[in-house]
Amino acid sequence: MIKLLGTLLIVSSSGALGFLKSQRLKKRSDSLSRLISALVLLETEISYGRKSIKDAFLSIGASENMPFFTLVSEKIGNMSVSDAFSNSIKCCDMCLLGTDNIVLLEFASTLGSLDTASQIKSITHTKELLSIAQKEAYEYYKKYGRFYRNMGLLLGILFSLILF
Amino acid sequence: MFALAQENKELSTYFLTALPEKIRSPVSKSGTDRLLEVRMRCGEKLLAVFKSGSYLLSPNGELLRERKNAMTVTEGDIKSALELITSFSLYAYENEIRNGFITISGGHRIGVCGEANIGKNGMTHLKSIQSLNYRFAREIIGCSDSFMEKIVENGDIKNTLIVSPPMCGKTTLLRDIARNLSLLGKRVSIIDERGEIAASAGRTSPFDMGFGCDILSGAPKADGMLYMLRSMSPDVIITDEIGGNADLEAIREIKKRGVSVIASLHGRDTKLLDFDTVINLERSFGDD
Repeated sequence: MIKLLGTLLIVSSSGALGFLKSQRLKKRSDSLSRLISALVLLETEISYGRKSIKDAFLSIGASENMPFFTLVSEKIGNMSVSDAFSNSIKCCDMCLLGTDNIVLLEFASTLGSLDTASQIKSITHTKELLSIAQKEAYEYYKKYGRFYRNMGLLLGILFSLILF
Repeated sequence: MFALAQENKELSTYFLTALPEKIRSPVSKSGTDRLLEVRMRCGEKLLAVFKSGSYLLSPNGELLRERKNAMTVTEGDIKSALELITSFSLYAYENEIRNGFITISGGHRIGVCGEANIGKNGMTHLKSIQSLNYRFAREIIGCSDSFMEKIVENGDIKNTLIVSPPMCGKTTLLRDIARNLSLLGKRVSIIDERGEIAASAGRTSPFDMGFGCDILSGAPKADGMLYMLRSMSPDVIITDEIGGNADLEAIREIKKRGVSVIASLHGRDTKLLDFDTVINLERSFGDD
């Protein structure tokens, strides 16, 4: 009975780890997609709405249901846009890689300090970089998402067989 | 008197919060009661202009006549100031910067200058901003009281043009005239193109506007005056610093509809204005 419980415990926890890893891959791809959508909205808010960064991020955070932008909006004013981005990236787990964060921080370094035309160019450039990263993230998830789920489960079974 | 002191405190707060932290402290310590301007020039000493004259400021807020011990304004200070003034959104103030100034909460006007970028149709934007001039907006309740009997005769509001050089209080006077007229029960419409008269763009005016005025912020004066004529059926339209022919045309149109106009104009004396301008002004403001 104890052996059976132990086996179940090992298999389920190992399977859960595999599932979590797979979910993180999916979440990175989803986060990048939503960041791109948010940048499209930001482009509109800047070119037509002429809203301040703070107000634009507040409405994007609400409409896209992205706490990251709401957090950035709350922090702007108390600190620079760059610092607000950097702090919010640490607080919100969007499952992004270091390279994704670098793209966001580079974007933030000029955000709000350019004229409209240059700001739109900066957004377009960032969208392109994020699109490349998103495609890569999606491909990676498609390729390895199921692999991690199955691998977790199988490793758990293998480990149980070796132990008992 | 108490109400006046409270208003001034609110205006001071708006003014001080638009200054970068490093500059805010000496300006605050030097006192804002008689402050007219704060000038920040990149690489130069911090200058404050009071009614009594211009002084350099030390980091402790002491008023100095010599450069020694005075605080130096850095590029970082200008950058921080711009971030505060534009709420970290320079693009949103492109038009204002092209016109040379940004108006912040409280009606304080901040002049901007630096290196201009020239396009096909003239100046497009500033490539780099090197100097800022913070002008303190004042509210002097009652400053128009002595003029009111000349402006309102037998219940009729006379078309009025206030001519004076910069920094003599044209806007302050217009604001108080608006307050007095609204207290007389007149329907007052204000065209506040640069947000200086009522400073109410997107918020409640920090100034005493009497029983209340209808305020159109940000619209060009000529368009704004005709818009208010159609939309708010005013007794009087008040606007600041009229200039072009379009403004005068709009005033003539408004006069035809029996609505009065009170406006201000930059100039030392009407006698010093050129002939065409005087003829145009007489046509617009004079009796038909």
